[in-house]
Amino acid sequence: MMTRRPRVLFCIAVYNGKRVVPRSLQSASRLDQSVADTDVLILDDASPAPGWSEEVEQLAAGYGFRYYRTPRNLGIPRNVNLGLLAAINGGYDFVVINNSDVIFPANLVTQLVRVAADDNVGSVTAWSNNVSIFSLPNEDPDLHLANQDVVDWLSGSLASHFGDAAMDVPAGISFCILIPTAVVREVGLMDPVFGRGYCEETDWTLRSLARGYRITLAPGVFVYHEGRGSNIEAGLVTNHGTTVPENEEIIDLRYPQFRNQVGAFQSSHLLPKAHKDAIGRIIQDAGRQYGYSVEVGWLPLATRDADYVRVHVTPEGLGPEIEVQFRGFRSVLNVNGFDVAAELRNYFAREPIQVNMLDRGGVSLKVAKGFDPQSLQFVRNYPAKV
Amino acid sequence: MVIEHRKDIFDLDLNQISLEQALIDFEIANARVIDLTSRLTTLSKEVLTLRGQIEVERTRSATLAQAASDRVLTNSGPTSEEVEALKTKATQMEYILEHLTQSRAVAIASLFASRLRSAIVQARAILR
Repeated sequence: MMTRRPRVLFCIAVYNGKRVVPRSLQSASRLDQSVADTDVLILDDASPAPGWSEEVEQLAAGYGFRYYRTPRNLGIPRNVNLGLLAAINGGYDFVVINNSDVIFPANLVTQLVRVAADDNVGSVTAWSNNVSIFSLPNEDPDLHLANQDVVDWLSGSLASHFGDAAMDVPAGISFCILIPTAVVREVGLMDPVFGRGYCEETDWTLRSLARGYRITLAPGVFVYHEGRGSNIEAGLVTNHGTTVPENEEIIDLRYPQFRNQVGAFQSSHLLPKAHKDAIGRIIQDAGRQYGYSVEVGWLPLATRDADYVRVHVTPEGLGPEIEVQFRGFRSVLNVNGFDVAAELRNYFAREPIQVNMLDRGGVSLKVAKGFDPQSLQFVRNYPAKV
Repeated sequence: MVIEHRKDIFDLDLNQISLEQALIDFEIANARVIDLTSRLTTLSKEVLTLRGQIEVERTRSATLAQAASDRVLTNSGPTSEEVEALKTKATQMEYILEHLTQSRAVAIASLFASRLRSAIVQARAILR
């Protein structure tokens, strides 16, 4: 059991990425250090863009990060291995491997370290909008979620709901993964047989599983991940490809049962439940903190984005479900059709910001009666339904 | 007492770490090449052997198919060996039948068994 504060080496792998790297470095500079002492190491895999490496080095220096550029391009597995080795040589307790097209929440390290408290946890992958099959569904993450304050808020909301819970998953994803250095010592490094990248962390986490370690995902933390940009730049995949088939064949050869295990996980309904719980909590917290609007009508207003929750009530009678949405997250509320206003008031613990009446039918007016007349707004329009 | 080796990230010689690992990676890559080359050589030999066997079987099957096809076309019936074998069998059957029909025990038994009597009559007809 650890009696001193844990030390974490936070590694960010960089390869070009002028558009995304400054944002992720700034994000890393805000990591909470209340639970663990965290050092940041930038691993530049010999980015070829002229002048870019110098720029990254300056940015890193400004934040007090260590910067290292490899003399030759190594590919993702070997570049990541540098981070793992640096963590072991430096006596760190944990190492976090990250992409550079991400925005980190301030509570990232705190949450990941909490989940990794059990000795049998071999790795902890952060939850995200873009984390393979585990992704938290969102209509347009780049539009709704690519913002530091939003990421901090989302991660805080999930942390308050899930705490240090760990979901066992078939494989880890190295866009943002924490690994105890003790596990690295036992399991080893990423296998360079995966060339420039893809599937190397699948192989590593399955090797750790074979040694009795858990592969986990932390639902109590959220990292925004743009995805694929740096891999297209690095020539790993094309614009139309999502993986490297040759690397998948190596996984199939080494772990013939892996695809079945993934299928079993997907059939277990753990993920849909986790998604539902997470999105429900996000929307409820958002409604309580930022407020909510109610739209009564067949079609909701075509508003692109809002800083509050939008509740859509269709005036078709006594339907038990109401759709709610916030920043691209959608969910349904099961309410008592007789008193929608009271149900919403209770769920969000406040009055709505406004109620938009898009329909003047009998049921709509009945719903409107439950709200404060001053919050009602009748939107004049022709009927939505023919 | 456990002595913890802790270093500040800025004190780490990453060039040295990278070089050491690169040498290890090279050793492993080299070993893999040697191993894969050996397996490739073995499998190539196996493939060549199997190809040869396939060709032999193809030739044999083509010959048999041709022979069967010739038999059908010329309507020559059974082979001479098959005919000889049939003739030998028939001779043996005739010998057995003749002895049976001439046996006193069989003759006495036929007095009391109508089926045996009619079988003996048929046998004598065949032998004639």
